[in-house]
Amino acid sequence: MKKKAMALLLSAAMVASVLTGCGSGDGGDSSQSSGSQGGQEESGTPAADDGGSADEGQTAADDGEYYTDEDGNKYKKFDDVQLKMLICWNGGFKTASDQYNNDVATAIREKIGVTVEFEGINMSETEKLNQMFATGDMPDMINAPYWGGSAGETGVIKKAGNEGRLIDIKDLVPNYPNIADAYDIGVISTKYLENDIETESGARYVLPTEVAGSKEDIALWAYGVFVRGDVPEALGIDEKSIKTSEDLLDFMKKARDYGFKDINGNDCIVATTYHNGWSYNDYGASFDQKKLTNYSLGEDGKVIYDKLSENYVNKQLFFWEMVHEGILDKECFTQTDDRGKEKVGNGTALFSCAQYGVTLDATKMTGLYDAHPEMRYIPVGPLTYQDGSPMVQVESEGRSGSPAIIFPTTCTDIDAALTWLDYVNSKEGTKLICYGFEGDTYELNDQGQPRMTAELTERYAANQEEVNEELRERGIKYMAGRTYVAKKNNLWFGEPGPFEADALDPYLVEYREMRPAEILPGYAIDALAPGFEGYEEFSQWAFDSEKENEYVQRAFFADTEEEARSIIEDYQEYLRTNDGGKMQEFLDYMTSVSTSRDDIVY
Amino acid sequence: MAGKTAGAALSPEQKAYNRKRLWVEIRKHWLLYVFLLPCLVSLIVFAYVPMGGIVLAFKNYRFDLGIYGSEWAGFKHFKSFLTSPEFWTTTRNTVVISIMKIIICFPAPIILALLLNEVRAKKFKSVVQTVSYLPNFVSWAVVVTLLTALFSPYGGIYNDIRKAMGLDPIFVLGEKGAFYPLVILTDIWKNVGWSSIVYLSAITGVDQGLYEAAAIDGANRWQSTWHVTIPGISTTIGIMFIMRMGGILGADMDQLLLLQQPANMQLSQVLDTYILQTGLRYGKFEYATAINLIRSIISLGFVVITNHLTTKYTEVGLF
Repeated sequence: MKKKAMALLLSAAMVASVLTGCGSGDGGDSSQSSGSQGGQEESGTPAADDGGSADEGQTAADDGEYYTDEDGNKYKKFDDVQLKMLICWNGGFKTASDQYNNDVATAIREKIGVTVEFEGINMSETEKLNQMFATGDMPDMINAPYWGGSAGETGVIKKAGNEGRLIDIKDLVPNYPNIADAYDIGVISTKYLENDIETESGARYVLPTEVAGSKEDIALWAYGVFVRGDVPEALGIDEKSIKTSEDLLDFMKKARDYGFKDINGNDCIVATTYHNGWSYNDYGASFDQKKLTNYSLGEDGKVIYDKLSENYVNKQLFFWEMVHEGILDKECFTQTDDRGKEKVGNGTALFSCAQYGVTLDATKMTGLYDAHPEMRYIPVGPLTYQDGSPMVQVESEGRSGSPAIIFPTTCTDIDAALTWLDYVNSKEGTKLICYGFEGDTYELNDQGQPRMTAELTERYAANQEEVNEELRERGIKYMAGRTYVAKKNNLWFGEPGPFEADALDPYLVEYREMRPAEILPGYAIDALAPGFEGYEEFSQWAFDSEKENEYVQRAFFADTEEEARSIIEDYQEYLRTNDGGKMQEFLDYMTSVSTSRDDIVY
Repeated sequence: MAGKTAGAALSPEQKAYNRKRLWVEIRKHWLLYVFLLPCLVSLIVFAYVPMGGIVLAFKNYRFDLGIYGSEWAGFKHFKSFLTSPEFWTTTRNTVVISIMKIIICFPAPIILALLLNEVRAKKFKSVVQTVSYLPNFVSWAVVVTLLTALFSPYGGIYNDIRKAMGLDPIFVLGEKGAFYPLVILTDIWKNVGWSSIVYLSAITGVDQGLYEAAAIDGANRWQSTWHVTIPGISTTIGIMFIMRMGGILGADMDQLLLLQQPANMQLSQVLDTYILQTGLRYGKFEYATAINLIRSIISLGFVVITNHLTTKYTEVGLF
């Protein structure tokens, strides 16, 4: 009988476990929430500890219902609202291990009664967005890529907005002064506002973020090509003299033939990238022109799509040669960021690309320069444009695509969410989340600007990762990257972020000066594209970057140049002939509208 | 899982008796049926209930309206896929890989089981069995990571050996010509041991008297394997073959997705990876469902035809 009872019990348990999978699993949050509140009672507030938090400023005030910051901005005070924000960027998002009880979260909660906890992802951004909107299992806020157009993440977010998954924030945002300038022209471009933010119904579903609120705050990404310092020295080549991709390839061939070794004595890879080939295009940068769009004006006055040009073919054949000659890392198109950084960090890759800061970070992870200072990665060139002019970071008047915050209809308290964003985008809030607490983590200089303490700055120069980790645990210096709307750090504090004025790598500072931002004024012609009849359907295949990658990367691995050329021309043929030759109709349309304004830029 | 028995049609009385008898048997062995319950519930919850989602293939899906509320689209998505260039590429790749697996990978566990059956040293046999089962528990993600490390042109042991022999390193995972061998060999390595269990258990069910009779007739080990063991497990082989045919349009997605490289995309893009790509990455849920439905219908057709043929020629059938 006992056996039978046991068997029944086990079977029932198994059936129950099978059915459990069908539940909605809503109960998790409440227990976490109550646990967090219990913890809060035990922890001391940073204001009490350091005696210098922003809410003790002379003008800061708290009347119970509203909190007034040191600049006189007033914020509604909530009753311990907890919100979740998904950072929908593949690769995860490092946060404080306790997101409720860390010093910054506690300080913000004391002021406005709202706590936001972040969560990252390790999967494709588009996939994650599709999953969430289809299942309805959505957080309170999402930060996701929103580069404009109708493909990828932008397409999914637009669909979600049109299909009732997102909250219309058009009439809400103006009520929050610190984020109200998100839609100002100059902060974002007219093209971005008209084509990607305003919807046909007049609603606005996205709040653009990571955009510069002032010219001084335009982020300098410092893209380029970088070489291990001992390579040009051994080869007797001045790396600064390399100005074209062809010169670069010759330089790389010489490096390949020399027989360099990495720090472990292994053979070297000549050139690598980071995740999924990011950004191999930097090696072929001198095939490019200084432009904002993928269109050009032909001599006959007709608009040309650059991907149908011979120059496009030649550029792809350049990469084919890099692969074929054993220059470009054959694994790079499918490798992870970690694998790419390992190759750079161990000095295995002689050349790297993408943002200089990423290369520097990779070497810091392994301490490459401590043992091998001669291997310091230094900028090549910079390369020039096709016409020989110096390469710059081309910008439109305001960004034309950016990371964006969206608010799903499941957001438990949109007022609290916008208030929180409003506060962290205020001068006081920005100072708190970037610099922490006066007298503890920062001090004011004679111009009244916050600067991290001398002790922290010194330690940061020696070991960036350790200091970042220490600050992160207190909630400092990690939120701003995904929550600033129109950045004004330079304007307010005289530096883009903590430590940047005093402890930024001097090589990075120097390189940023070599690759300045340049605003190309005018109305980008691709902003007119959505007027083409059937544009949405057309753009999905015509501008499908996955399809393009499929063709060109296959071409890179072709056995012969003829085969590679044939694959690239197949892609061009696909663009020309698909959907009954719609591309030509589209280009004719673009030609017809190219004279509709006198400020068109390409 | 038994051979079909041909017989005269039963009378209504006999049918009623059989039905009554069945309930008597169920009541008698009710505990065993309780053991069956979790599997049955699992099957209903995870296999039958989601079938309602098939309707998505005929809809224009909207996030807010859901599967059942979205408007009907008729056969639009089916037509769209059947007329797209991807239809031929993905179907061809799927069928080629599946047929190669059926020809090479399907007999592998049968051969292993027959070989193991001939091993007399019990300890050696159990060691071989354990070693051959273990790869089944390694996920494809780990297998491909191991392959990447082994065959990497930068520090991989395979290329280190090549270099030591004075040969140039090659990027094996990126070689188009290496794609099919990698797919087949890794499939065998991972699955051969585990799949052989079913054949080993079938072999233990072969009447030992037949081996003794064969020995008396002067059969050597090869002959008794050929004339006794293989016919003895032919029913199991037949059933496994029918089930395998059902998966002919379902080449192992995890394996192929992870082995995809720019150089082999023309060979490695199969129906399953394409469905994943269009469904989740591009959010075309209805289109992906339509492709999957087409695949399922064709697979069902394969099962029915194979079942019919095996029933006709070998008297082995599923239904």
